[in-house]
Amino acid sequence: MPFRTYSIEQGLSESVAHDLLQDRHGFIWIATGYGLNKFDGYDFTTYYERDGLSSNQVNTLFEDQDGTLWIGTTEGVSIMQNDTIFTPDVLENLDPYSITDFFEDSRGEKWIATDGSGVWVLTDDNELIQYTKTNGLSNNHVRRIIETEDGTLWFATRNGVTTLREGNFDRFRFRDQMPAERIRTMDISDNGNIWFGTREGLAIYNGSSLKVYNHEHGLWSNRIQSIRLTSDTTAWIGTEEGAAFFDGSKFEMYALQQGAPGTVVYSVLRDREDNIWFGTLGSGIKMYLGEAFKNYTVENGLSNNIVTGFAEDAEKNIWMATYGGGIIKNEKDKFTAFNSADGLRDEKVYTLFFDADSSLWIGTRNGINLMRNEKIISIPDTVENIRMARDFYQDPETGEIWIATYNDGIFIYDGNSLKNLTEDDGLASNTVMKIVRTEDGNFWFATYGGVSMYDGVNFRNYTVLDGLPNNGVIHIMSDHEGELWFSTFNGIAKFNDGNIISLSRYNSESQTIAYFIFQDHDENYWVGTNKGLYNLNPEKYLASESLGEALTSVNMYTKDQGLVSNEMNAGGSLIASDGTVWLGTVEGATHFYPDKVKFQNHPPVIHLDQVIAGGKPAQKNQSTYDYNRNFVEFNFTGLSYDGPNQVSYEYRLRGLSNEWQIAGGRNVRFASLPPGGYRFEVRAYNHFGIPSEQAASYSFQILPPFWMSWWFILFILLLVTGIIVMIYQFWKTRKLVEIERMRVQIASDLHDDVGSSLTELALQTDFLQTGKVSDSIKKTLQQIGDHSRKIVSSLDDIVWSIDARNDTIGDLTDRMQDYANNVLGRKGIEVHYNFEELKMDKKLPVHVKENIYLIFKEAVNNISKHSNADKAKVELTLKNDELKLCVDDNGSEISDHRKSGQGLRNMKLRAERIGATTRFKNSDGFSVIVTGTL
Amino acid sequence: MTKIGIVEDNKKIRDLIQRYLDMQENMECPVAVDSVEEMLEYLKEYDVPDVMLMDIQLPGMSGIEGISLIKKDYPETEIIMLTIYHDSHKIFDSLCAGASGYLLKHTSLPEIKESIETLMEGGAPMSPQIARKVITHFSETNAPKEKKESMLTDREQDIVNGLVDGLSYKLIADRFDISIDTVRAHIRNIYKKLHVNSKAEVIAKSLRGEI
Repeated sequence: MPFRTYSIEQGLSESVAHDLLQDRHGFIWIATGYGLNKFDGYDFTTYYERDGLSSNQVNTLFEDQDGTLWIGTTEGVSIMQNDTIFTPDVLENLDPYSITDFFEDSRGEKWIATDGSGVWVLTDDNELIQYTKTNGLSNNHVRRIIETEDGTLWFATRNGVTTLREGNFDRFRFRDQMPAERIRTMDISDNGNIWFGTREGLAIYNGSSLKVYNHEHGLWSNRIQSIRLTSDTTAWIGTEEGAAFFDGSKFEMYALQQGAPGTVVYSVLRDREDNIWFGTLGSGIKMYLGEAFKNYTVENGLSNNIVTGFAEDAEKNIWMATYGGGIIKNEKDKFTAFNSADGLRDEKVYTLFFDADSSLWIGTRNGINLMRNEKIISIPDTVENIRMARDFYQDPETGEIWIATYNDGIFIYDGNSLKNLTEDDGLASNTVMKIVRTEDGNFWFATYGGVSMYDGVNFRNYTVLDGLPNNGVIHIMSDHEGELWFSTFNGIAKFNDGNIISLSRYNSESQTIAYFIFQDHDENYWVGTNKGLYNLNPEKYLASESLGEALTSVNMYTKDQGLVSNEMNAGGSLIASDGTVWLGTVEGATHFYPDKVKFQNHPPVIHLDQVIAGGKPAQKNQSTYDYNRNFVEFNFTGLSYDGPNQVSYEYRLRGLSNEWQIAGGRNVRFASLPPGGYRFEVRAYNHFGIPSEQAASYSFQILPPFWMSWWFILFILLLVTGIIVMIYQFWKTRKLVEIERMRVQIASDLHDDVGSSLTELALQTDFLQTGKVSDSIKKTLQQIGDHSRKIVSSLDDIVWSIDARNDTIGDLTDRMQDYANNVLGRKGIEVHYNFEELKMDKKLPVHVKENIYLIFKEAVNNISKHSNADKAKVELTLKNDELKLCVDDNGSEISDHRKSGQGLRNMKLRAERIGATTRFKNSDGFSVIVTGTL
Repeated sequence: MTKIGIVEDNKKIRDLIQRYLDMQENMECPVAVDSVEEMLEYLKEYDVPDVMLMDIQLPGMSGIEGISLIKKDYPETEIIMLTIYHDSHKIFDSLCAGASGYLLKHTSLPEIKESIETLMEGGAPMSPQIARKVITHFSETNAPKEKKESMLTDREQDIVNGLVDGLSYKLIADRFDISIDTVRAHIRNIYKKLHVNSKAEVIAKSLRGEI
């Protein structure tokens, strides 16, 4: 069957496909009896009522000029815009009706055909108008709408065709000549002909007459469901019993389903790569693969699917060797098998060869047979006992038969005696797969020890040392110019002027086993591998400088394009006298017509589906990531339905490397990207090596972190003070919002990174103290811990004070309370606050807030460290922009520190910064009073 | 024996806390992971810890998101937020999401241990900053039309006001002539009400079909 099928097993929501559409981005949409599907060649994305469809039963699809997708269901219309499906208010009137078709006319008005309630038009003014039989439509069951160049609209109904011209509905004037009343579909060819699909065949109207085509022209079923024109005169037709290709005068039918009489074909789509798709009843969607590959398996009558060799007899019948099913004669696709019952020494056969007398030499696993006129004839035991013959060659002058064997070297049989050439004589290996003789009379042997050249006296061996990609050589081919081509377990090579030139230069090809090379009648090179068959342009390949470029010189053909299997067999190729090629695989034989191979140069569109950074999908328009999201993954799809599995992808990440690299699949991951700016670019090559016109790209940035290590933390410990001072300097200037933002960022980063390292340090000292250590060390540890915590709190204060969210008096007093409770509360000092007259939500300038807080902290520390007080009072007032902070205590101990210490100087200094004055009172305890104007 | 789980992405801090808690007689810390996702995986297979210490800034899901998820499926576990910031906004958000308290990361190990013990005995810390946010929360986001159970009782209101004034639990207890344990119980109830409010949001979302 020359079709590729996608149905429920592949992810289609239902096997009944009513309509097919390819949108402007290249995605294929499928309307099914249960759900809407979007297909990218790999996966189906499904949409149902829960996603906004007005009904799960989808009949028809349409994409308008603006790219809106119109979805006609059995219960009204839904539209899809920006990935959202909904029903606009104006279309809700259509909810009760089953929609059969959409059409956008030359004025941009949208027409909607229904099954039973006529046609509706959505005008430019967003008004929905209905036309029915009462307006002149011949029937309310409308199936299709088209428009001819003169602006006439045509409606296909269950009761003939109606036209709408200059506001008047009319019956189509050739009504009497129509083969049937029920018109299912219509289409217009570029030459203006109108094609009607009816219940009684195809009718083509050329403006003056109507011509009908039906079962007399080859249609199995006259009930036409869909028409897809491929030219002015040719079309693919979907009928109730399969698909048909109409060549202008007759039909070629395709059942679409093996064994079945044919399935209903609801719709036909021709995609941008000129692939033809069919939407069927119950068999999902099917893509037509063309006629280049015709496959034979046991189902067609082969005795075995492993086909190892071919030979063509004088009557041009093809004989096949199978591994397990003897040999098969193919006489015009009628197969006759010969096996042990006919005298074959073994049914596992490797190779076949017709000699000059038209006798067939048969190399089996267990010996050689000779067959003449379909009868095994006797040969000497010594010849018959040669096991595992892999190739035969007959010297045209002497008539000697040369036999290559898998284990025993080469035998030469002159009709009487047998001569043996082995490793002892200089042969590279006793495993010989192929014999080729060049014009100069030299023999060339493909062996598992390299290539051996034999001039009748001496051997000259070529191995990897001479440039062969691998010593396991399976096949040798002499091309039309007499150049030799070697197929090896690791790709191919050619022999040129005494040098071996490898054609497997790029790493990713390394696993390709080349079984054979052949040249077709147009001198194209073809290579049979374990991954399929490929067409090679050697000059282009050799000129390539990267794998990406090399890809453009190779066209790959696999099961997806119609091959019976991707795994070829050694020896499994024959160019028949008619120019066609027979290929032997592990799953059957393929008859290959090189001139029918489809080539399409439509570049695949590439879509970047998803970016995942640090395990989380990127937000829409997101382009910056924190350093800890530097593990970035890209998922992409190149749209080529012709050979989705053979699309290759090439990418580069600018900022990391400008070199294009081949991607292993549809995603690429980058781990631990260093901070910086990047641009990811990806492009696809279809299986003909045509690259995307434009790469898909994504620019992004990884933000730098503050990397910490233990030695660095110690270093930072020293630097912290300096940096804090620097931040204060910045603070003072406070000129640009930008600088401020940066400052917040720096402070937060410092806090996060230095803070967490210091926290580690502090916890570590806690932990160490739990162990058995001396008191003095314990004390030191305690100090280190306390110091670390103190720095962390300072950092915290800075972050707090410059955070714009904390800019009210309430925030300030909260923090002051927190601090005082923490420090004084621990010492059992009772604190009383007087904030009562403050408006808590009044905003304070950042520098005032910060300095007041720091003065306050200093004052509290003073009390905590240097006084014997048991009560403290904190008062903050703000009246008419006059700010006053009082911190009193009832301590009696007088310390020099309190009057002249660093603490007091700091408070003064800070007060000056915000233009405030400081007073210290030293009676009845100690007071700090700061007053200033905002 | 109190079972404790830790979600903290700084390996060193995580290990230190885990080792320290494991050394305590009445505590064990069988699980210490670096993301909420891992903790959720763990919870599927093993016993739910009594107390969980949770960082706010985590790779992947944030701690605040994590609280709601964990609390939804394992309401009996108590979560204490570990935060590097003394940032009342984030702390309050996590309390709303279902946390029972918070600790600054640089809190000393013995203090961490104490906080866990207090929590297990029924206590819950509330600072003036948080108390003020509680008041705003209940006065703004829950207009009178809201259900009664989402409002603070008069006594709860008193206690929150006391906290805003900077009174210690003991002073509050003295002021209203109740025991410290009663104050703690009230504070726990206030937290619960915060959680209820955030759950109500969750329900509203599910009704709109967002979940």
